Amino acid sequence: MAYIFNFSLVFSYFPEFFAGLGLGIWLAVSSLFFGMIIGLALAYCAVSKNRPLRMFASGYVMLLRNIPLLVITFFCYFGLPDWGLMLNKHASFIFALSLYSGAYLTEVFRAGLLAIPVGIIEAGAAIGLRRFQILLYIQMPIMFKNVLPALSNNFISLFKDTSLASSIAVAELTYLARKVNTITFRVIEVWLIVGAMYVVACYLIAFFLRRVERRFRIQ
Amino acid sequence: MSDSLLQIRGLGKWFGPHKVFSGVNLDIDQGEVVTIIGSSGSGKTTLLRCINLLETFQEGTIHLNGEELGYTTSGYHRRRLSEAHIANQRIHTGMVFQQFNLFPHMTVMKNVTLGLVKVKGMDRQSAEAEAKKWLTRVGLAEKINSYPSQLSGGQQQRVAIARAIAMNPLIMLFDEATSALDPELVGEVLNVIKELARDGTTMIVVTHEMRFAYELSDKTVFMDDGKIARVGTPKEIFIEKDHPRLREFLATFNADIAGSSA
Amino acid sequence: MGAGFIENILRSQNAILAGISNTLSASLLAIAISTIFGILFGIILTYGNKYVKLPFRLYVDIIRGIPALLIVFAVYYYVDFWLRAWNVNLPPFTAGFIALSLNAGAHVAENTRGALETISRGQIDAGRAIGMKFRQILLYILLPQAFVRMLPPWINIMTEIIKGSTLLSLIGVAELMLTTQQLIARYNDALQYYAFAGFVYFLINITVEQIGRFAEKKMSRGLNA
Repeated sequence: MAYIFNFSLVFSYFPEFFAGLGLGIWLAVSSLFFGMIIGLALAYCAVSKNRPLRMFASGYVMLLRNIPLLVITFFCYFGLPDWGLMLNKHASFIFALSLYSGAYLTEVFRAGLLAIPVGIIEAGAAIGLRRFQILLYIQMPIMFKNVLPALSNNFISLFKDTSLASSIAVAELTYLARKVNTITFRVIEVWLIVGAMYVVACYLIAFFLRRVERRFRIQ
Repeated sequence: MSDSLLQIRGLGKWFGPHKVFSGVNLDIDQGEVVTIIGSSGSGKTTLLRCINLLETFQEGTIHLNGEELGYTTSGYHRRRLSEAHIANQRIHTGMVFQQFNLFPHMTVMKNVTLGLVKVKGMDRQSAEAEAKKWLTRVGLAEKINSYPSQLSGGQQQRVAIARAIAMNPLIMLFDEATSALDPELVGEVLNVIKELARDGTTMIVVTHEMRFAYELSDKTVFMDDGKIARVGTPKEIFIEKDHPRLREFLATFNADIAGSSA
Repeated sequence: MGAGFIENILRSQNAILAGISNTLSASLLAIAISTIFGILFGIILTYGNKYVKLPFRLYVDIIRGIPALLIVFAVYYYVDFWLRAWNVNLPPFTAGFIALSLNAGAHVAENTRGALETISRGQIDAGRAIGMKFRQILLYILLPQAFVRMLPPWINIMTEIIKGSTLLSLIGVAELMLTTQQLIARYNDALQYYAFAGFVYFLINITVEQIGRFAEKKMSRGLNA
């Protein structure tokens, strides 16, 4: 039985697909934002002299990195209401993905902090910089420049992870692909087109981020 | 039959449009020690690597002990031999590299026996006995269970020499064997090479050590700009220096070989 | 809460164990397939000429730009569509581990390539100089050194596969995730069951990582001597 290609049928869904893609990026950016807050806080815990803090950080990382994102997603969306924490689908997924990415970002920021030469911190103290809060004006910028490549990689992974939002019926690209596939039965075209959209999106994001990296390196 | 052990005829190599060397003719007899000197870019290292077929060449032939290396040439038709066939031919040439290239995950003993066991098919005991013999010859008997990272540069290079010569090749090729060594370690390696020469090993030595080349060679080849500019006895090359480019080249080394100003 | 939950778990232990068994078998199949092909592709990507490399390069770059879930759906719907024409029912399990293998294979390939490229080409020269064929050089010189460098990322890939097996629940494979959801539907409770599932995955992955770290320590004797 011959398969009759009908790309134009699938192409007609392009506006929806692009909306789904945009939603995915929005989910990724939001999760990155909250994840970075978690990651930064835990990274400072991880390098602190306080043993319980260190253990808390490493415990969090170990826990969140070894549990599948899907479990975390379902736990947050279906499970947390049992404790009275009800969020809508989008917020719930961003919450879950932030927790998940926070674990990975902790490692990224921790490596970034440890890579700062001790001498620079000592120099800051030597010129009388008041407190650690002001030392942060030296540490943070250097660390961010160091971790930019790892951050970029993490963001692209986050973007791909947003596909799991489809499991709780968030209308991002993967969910739409499934929907259109079910409606039109154009199996080859749908997955080819959506796959291509993801590949191109990832390439563009990577390209854009590399240019950002380069601009920060010149300084 | 007065055929030489190694016969190179009309050898030429190009990298695309760029000529590395051409028109190279060379004969090396059994037991002869030939040194090749010349500035970097003269093609001498590439020439050496062609002899053991690590590099391809576009023109000419190389015959080792009567067998054509790397290609079969019948008339004007020239075909490259299979990789398996070439691998077998490399058993008869031994090469010592500038960067030693020891296998870091293997002990000294294993470095030397690997070829004996896996290529020549020797059994483990015979291979280890052979390896021990050569490692003792190069003065490293107590290091057989060490790893390369635990050895100095000079020691590593001596292991590399043992590894190459344990395969019992017809000819040994030394590619600037001491150029990557700290000055105080150069001597121990040069001494090993000199001893091998004294024992009658046929060898081609590409080197920058002029005094060493003068003392060691039966014949010295001066390469310049992709051609063999001058072949002669050490006396002719280092003392008489009867070639203008040769004189320029040797002048940069500031080595007055004979000890007395000419 | 509490006692009722534990009772329910014990009552359903067969289903849970069956779910875990499916999780592990799908993961193991994917690990095996992706490792074998991934290493092979990685060798080609490192040492092949530019024409031979191209399809594998494309494969790796495309897979890395697509979410794993998309691959799972695509493989499932695509293969299911074709088999429907022949009236064959595709077990989603098969589509599942194939999709996981496709995804992980690209990562193993890149991992292998990265490890092999750190080995200096001079060692290949040295191997050739003593008359070794490339097959032997690969087996005795290159791969032994690459393995130690490949191990930590490979352990990571393994845990990613195990985590990825949860995606198979979305195409109807009765692995642990789907089983958990069935329990939730049955006992009308959610949070504890998801926490339980999370705990099981956590245990599995931690165990895998510990074994991996142990193996890594044993292997790096030679290089660090």
